[in-house]
Amino acid sequence: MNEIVLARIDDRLIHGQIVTSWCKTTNANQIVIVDDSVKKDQFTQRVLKAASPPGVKVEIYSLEEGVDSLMKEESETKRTILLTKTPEAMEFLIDHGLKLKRIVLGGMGAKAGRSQLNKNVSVSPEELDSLKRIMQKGIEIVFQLVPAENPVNIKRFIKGE
Amino acid sequence: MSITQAILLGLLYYLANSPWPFGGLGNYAIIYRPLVLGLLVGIILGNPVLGVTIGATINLMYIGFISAGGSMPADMSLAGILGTALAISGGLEMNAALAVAVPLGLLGALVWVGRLTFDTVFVRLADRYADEGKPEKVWIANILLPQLALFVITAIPCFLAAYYGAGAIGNFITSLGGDFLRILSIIGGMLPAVGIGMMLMAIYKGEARIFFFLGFLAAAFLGLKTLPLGLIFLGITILYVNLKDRGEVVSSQFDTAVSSETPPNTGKLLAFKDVRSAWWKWMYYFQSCYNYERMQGVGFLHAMTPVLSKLYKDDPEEMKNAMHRHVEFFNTENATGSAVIGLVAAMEEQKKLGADLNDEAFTSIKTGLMGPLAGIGDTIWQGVVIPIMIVLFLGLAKEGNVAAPVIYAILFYALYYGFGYWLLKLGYNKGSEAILNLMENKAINKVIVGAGMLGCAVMGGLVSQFVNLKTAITFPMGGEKVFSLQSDFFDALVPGLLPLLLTMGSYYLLRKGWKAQYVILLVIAVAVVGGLLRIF
Repeated sequence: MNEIVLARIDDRLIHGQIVTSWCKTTNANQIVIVDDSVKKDQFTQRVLKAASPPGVKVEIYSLEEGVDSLMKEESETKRTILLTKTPEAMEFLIDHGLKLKRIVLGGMGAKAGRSQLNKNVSVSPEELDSLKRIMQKGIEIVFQLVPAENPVNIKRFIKGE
Repeated sequence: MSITQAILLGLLYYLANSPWPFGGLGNYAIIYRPLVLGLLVGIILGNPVLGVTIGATINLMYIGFISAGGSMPADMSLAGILGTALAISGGLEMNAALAVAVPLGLLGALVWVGRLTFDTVFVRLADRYADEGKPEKVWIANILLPQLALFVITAIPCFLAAYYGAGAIGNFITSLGGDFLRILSIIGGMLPAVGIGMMLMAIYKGEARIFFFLGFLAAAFLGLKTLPLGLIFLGITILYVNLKDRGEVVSSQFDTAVSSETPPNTGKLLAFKDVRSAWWKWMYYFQSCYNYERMQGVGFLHAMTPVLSKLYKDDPEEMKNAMHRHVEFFNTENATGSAVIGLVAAMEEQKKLGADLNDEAFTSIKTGLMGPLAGIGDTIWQGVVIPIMIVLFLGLAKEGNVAAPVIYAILFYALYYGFGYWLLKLGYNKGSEAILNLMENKAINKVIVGAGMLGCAVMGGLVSQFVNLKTAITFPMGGEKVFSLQSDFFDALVPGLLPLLLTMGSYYLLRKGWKAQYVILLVIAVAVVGGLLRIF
């Protein structure tokens, strides 16, 4: 059985909040990263794998591979943290049949073309559209940096919702 | 409290949140901690021994505390300063002071949010300096203005609270009388169980669980204090981890050339003192202008200024480009981030020498490394080294030993800066491949697992020293004789059994996903009900 204990959009992927909090409270034994650019970048892949905490396996897939691997029936019990850098990647997985109830928005750093949505999250117009489409499918999207924080539904921050 | 003492306390609160005197994370690990603040507040208020004792007690509440990636659950420095001041100037008994300090810590977390919000303003200024290509001005955006603003929102409220609050709150609480004080004291005695429970969340797993109980038993039956207990278990842990891991082979899964790899540095444009100067700026001011928009972006740019000034002083166009690429979003752990400082300095040097490195190459190496390095760095420092070193000295401090916080501070500073400096040289001289090899070396994981075991043993020892819970239930046995559930049953069976059960109960709720503040509220409720019914 492959249970997704956390689906998170976070452009730093594996970092302090993931390793010191989320891995512990979700009791995850696997981190799955779905991102085409990381899949092409051997250096970043090695760095991410090296950053995995003891007892947690890191798998890195392209979008297509991600669909196959996440939908596959597993014989052993896997508790998976699913990470993508962008809403679009998450949307792709959902459109290809991945069932999710809630997506946690972690950090998305400010850069050219993005405007600030809340303290830690900035989005481009395309990313915002993608988030809206995901919400229309009935999936809840919340801001939450660490488990100790209360999740806040992003509806509040999006105009016209 | 005199006005001078209150001013000093306000200043101390500012310093605890500033880069001075131990550097950004150095301060966070040293004078932000109630263990150290207790001593300093004690010196200001004329009772260092009492200060150290109270500081140690308050610190235990925050032992499992981690602030990662810009999240901050509570402000232990405010709890440490005002809690200690309440006990010394307000005359509150120690456990009662702890019960009042904890809510103050939650209030202090607002300062953090305020700071990360208004620091965003100074990012615009840093951007402007980059437009103008003026590295010599960056300190204004990174240090001068954000620190002035921080001073206003920290020193002044803390001064007011200390001057008008400490005595008044102390008198008010004392005036409420015996039962209130007694219950406040029961609360303060029970709360450290939640602090220990939070620490256990990080380390209580696998074989380490046995170490927790061994530590508890060693303290409960043999009366071992934390430092000897820690040293004995250090030996046991090293033996255990080495025996267990014998024969395990770790190999890299990748052997192809890597796309973002940077070769070892052969450049001679920079003197190592330029790189070192960049590093000191990084270690001290990386988070001086911490803000929600770019996090450590301005700090990173400021750190790179000695390198950029040397390389691009005659090339204003490239100076502007370089400043723009280093003021981008950046967020990592301070000491492990030293490797990136060294690496990026080397990359800039090679670029100047003609290597084909565009902006994207810099961005991809910085963004690729910052997250994973923070994952490793936060685990090592905030998850392992800081709590375990503090725990080792808490026991001594609680007995009123004023040297305990001082020794802790010296050891931590040496270890932290030594490690950072070593990584800086590795990144600068050997390039990204060397950093990767280090990260892939599972020795780090071995140290983390071993430290978790040691930590569990010492936390077990702390349960009997810091958590206070005794039942007052007695049964008349006819005539003069009374059977006391505490002294005739629990103490005879296992001394400290109730504190142990309370700690495990708190841990269990946290493990089930309860937020710490709810567990704290529950413990307070139990203490109040139990105190009123005379169960405790």
